Amino acid sequence: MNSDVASIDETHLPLLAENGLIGEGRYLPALELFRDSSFWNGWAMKALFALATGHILAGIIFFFAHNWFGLPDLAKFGLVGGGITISILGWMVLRLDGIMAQALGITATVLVGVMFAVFGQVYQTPALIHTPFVLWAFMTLPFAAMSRNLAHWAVWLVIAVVAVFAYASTGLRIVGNEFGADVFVIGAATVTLLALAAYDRVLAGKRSWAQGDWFRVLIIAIIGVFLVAGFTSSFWKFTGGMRPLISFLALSLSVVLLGYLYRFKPTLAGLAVATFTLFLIAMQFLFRIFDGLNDVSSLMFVFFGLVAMIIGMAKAFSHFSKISERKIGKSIAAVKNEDSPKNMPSVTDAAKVLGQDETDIQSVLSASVNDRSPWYIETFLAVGGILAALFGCAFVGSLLGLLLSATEEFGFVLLLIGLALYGAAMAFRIKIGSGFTRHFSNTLILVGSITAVIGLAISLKNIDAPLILAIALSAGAFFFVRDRIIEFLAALTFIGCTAVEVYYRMGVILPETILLILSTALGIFFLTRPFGKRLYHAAGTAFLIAPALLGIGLAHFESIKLFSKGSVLDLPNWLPRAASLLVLVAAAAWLNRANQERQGWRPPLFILIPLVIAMALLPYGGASALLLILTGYILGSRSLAIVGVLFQIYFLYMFYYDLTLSLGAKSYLLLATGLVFLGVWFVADRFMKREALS
Amino acid sequence: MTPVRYLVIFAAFLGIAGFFGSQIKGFESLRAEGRTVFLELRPVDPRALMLGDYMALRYDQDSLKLLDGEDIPPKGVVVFKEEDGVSTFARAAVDTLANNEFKLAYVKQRRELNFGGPRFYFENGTAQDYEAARYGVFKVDENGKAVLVSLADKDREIINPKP
Repeated sequence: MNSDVASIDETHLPLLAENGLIGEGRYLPALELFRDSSFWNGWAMKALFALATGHILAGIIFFFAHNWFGLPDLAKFGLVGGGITISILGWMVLRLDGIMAQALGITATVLVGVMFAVFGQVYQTPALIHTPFVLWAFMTLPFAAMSRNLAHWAVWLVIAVVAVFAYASTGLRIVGNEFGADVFVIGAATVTLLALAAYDRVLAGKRSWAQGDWFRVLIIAIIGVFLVAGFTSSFWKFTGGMRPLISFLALSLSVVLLGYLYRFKPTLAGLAVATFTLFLIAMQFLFRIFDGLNDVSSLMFVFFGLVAMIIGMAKAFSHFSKISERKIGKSIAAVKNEDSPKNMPSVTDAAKVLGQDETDIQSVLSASVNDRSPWYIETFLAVGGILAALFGCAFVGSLLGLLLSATEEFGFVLLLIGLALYGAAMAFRIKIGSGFTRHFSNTLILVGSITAVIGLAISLKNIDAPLILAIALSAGAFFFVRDRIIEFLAALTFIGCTAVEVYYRMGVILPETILLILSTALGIFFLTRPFGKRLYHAAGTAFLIAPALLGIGLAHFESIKLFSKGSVLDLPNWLPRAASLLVLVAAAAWLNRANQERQGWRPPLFILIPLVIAMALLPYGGASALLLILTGYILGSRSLAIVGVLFQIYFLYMFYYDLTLSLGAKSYLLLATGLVFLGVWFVADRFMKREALS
Repeated sequence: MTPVRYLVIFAAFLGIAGFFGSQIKGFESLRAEGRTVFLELRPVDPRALMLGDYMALRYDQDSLKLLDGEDIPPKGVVVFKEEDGVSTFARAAVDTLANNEFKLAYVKQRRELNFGGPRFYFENGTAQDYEAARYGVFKVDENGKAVLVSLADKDREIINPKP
């Protein structure tokens, strides 16, 4: 039990809400207390510049990918070569290290890749497919090495990862050297692990430009990707010879990675990624060990094995957070604050803003221990939980199939057993509240729900009733279980089932617009106020990213059409696009005006308006991605903002494969969008400098 | 350290310029002076990251079955002969070449030989024009190095997409 708490952070807000200390209309003013304006101004400027550069570079890539036959080959080489030369010269003239100089350095690195692309088009890739990527990575390594810029290194790392997988695939695997390909990928993991050790020893902590926990996590994630890919490929093909050795090497390296991080620099995020890597590898051992047993028993062992692993992983995360706190001096709250940099106001200030008595707040804070984990840990546990739940459902289904194969009421029995499991798991979960067994009961809630829904579908041979049941079961878990994973999954289930109904069953016009309005309204609602003495942030986040996920789903299943000629003026689906623009404008306006104590617009209108217009030109959820970024910026949540940026990068990637517009037309749109962003950045930069002077 | 940074960046730039310069020069000379040969196609069309739209090509002559059990190294050259304007596989052994024969370099990939033209990249929006493609048109030098320069229809007319 704690004594008096001097300061308060955002993670205490759910506690205050549960105790009725956040009154009507006081949540947003309270949230404002924690928002570090100077951090967010700097972040917004960097994000704006990165978006501008990213869109312009994407526009250049799309332009040359169009492969204009009317442009002579040597003119293409001249244009790209000239671009590389100007970028290098500009980088040097601007003395290598300013934001503009660094952007030119990254541009040079990207343009070398564009040169390889043009080379491949003109000479019809006489070399193997991996060659351009491998040469691109080698040739631009000196640029990254001399850049003193982690963003440049991150771009290079992405190129290098593509090169490694391209070489393993078309350089080795396709010529029959499967073993060599696996050794190569594991070798790449080893080199990256050594690079991580070198980075920790030589750069991090000693050079200011090399500071960045995100970059370290990126390196660890890349090692994890190599290890899981190398292990999976060798493990499932081995029948003898040297292959088991490769699998064993991958497993050993994942243990070495975890050991290294634990021993030398135990940051929670790094350890979490390494643990999840080990989980993905160990999980495959589990699959293989029980592969030989009969269906029901193997599914049962895999299910219980996975649940045990998830509980083990949760225990490891809990231990790592303590180690991290002891060795680096960062508590989970501090790690969360690092994720979303905050002011730490005093309890007195918080009491004033909330309009509550200071002693009431003090007594709530001192009586409770805050044990909420960062979002990435919850995500890893959720992924493991879903996997376990799927095996759990398969186990229950197979067992019942075996026992009741003769009965015609199989579906009905499945429904009853699913409902019973769901009810029992809910009761258990509500009673337990916290601790590691909550992951087991969470998994059982999922198993019960899915089993019941499948049972109803089999029983009624109908799709509407199971969808309604899924929504009802999600709503039950949503309101009665206080768990971020369950809350997030329940919100996604609700919107997913609604999407299926709206899209495929109701036959309404503009289904995507209806879903966009519904999920955006729910997302903004849950992110900006408590509901019945509880904050539903995980659900708010799920609702807000749902349109973006829907955009991805549509990109994969609905909107990939055959080649069609288009022009820059031939914008398809202008009505939903206009609607998404309106939703974005309404949400941004509401987020700004809901807190009546705050003056002015965030960001200022001269930035917001061109941003909205520019983003609305881009399809596939560009507006949803911008709304995530804006919500994160306005409410002070870096997680939301980063998710928005990642979605935008993904949408740009998907935009490349969209066939409703020509690559040339898309390149003009991207260049125009990037230039608008750059103009906004330039004006905002001047504005902020003038504000600082005055 | 700063002068070293400038030097390394400049040296890398020169390396990149030199690499592309020499490669472009070599391929341009091959395109200008190489022997023109036609290989019959079995076309299959997707989009490549950064390179745009292409037609994935398989050739009647790229099957390892042509070798009739002969074991050949992973990389090398084989002999092709030209009859009625179309080139077909002659033999694996490279000895004396007849007038209608030429060397063609390959890379062995699983059950196929890759002669260097696995994809034909075309301008976005011109896919229909290439539906009539029946032959890959290559330029080949005396060492067997080949570059795919265009596609041709059943009458071996080079396909030029309509603007």
